[in-house]
Amino acid sequence: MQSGTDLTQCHKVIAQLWAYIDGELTPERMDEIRAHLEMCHRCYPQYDFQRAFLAFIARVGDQPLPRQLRRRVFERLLAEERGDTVA
Amino acid sequence: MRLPWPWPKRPETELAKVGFVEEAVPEMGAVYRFALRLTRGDESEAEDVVQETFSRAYRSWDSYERGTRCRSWLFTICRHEFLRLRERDRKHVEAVQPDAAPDAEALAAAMIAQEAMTANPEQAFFESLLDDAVILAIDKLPIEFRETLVMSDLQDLPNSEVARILEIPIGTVKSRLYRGRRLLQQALYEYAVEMGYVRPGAM
Repeated sequence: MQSGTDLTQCHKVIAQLWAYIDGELTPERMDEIRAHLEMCHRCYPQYDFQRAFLAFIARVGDQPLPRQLRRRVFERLLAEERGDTVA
Repeated sequence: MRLPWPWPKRPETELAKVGFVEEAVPEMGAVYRFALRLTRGDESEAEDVVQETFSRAYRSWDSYERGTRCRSWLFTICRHEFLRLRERDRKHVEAVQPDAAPDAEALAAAMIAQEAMTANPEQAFFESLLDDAVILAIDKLPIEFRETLVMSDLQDLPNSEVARILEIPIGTVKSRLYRGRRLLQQALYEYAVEMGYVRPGAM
């Protein structure tokens, strides 16, 4: 694998890895980083790690809505609509 | 067996305001999960916040433009209700942390990642962590990092949307998000080391 990528490029890429994963960069910069990652043995593992980390935390915290809560929200909305004063 | 007649109506069909049931109600789960992270896992407080949120949303339904990201609109209301209830109950409102430099945070995270990968080349260290531990670490983040990270990474909202909800510049969203992510990685890594899932420096 080429070791032609210089460290200043890597530094900039690493600083922008999250922005890259989030898709928050210009299309040109996205392409540049994609090309860099394809051939950089330093940066690619970092990208892989951060991508996996963000995917990991995205799955966390899928608590279901408590059924009682749903019912209580409706009861209150209906009461307010009828004009019943709610304490 | 005779069924009771008339059949009991589902309560939501009786709400008069057009579109509320179709657009706002399906977001109740997401709003609850968001409220749960604002309250740091306090389910009872989160339920109160959800109730207040939907009440206010219903009252202000006319001010919402149909079909324009209802979830974000509800999150905006939810945050306000959370803060209002905290103030009303004179509960502690967390102090705001100074803003971070996004690049510095990303680079700091890279150093943590490098150490983690060196210590555990076969499997990413966080794969061995339980959901509960991750949620705990998220809940420990100061509120402005926590709410930003939750909206971006758990609720999958783009930076522009988070900026709208929080009424702050996109740059500030980025810096808070990156600091939140870095703090979270750091906390989880330290926890993994403590639990013996990772043995750093074993080179």
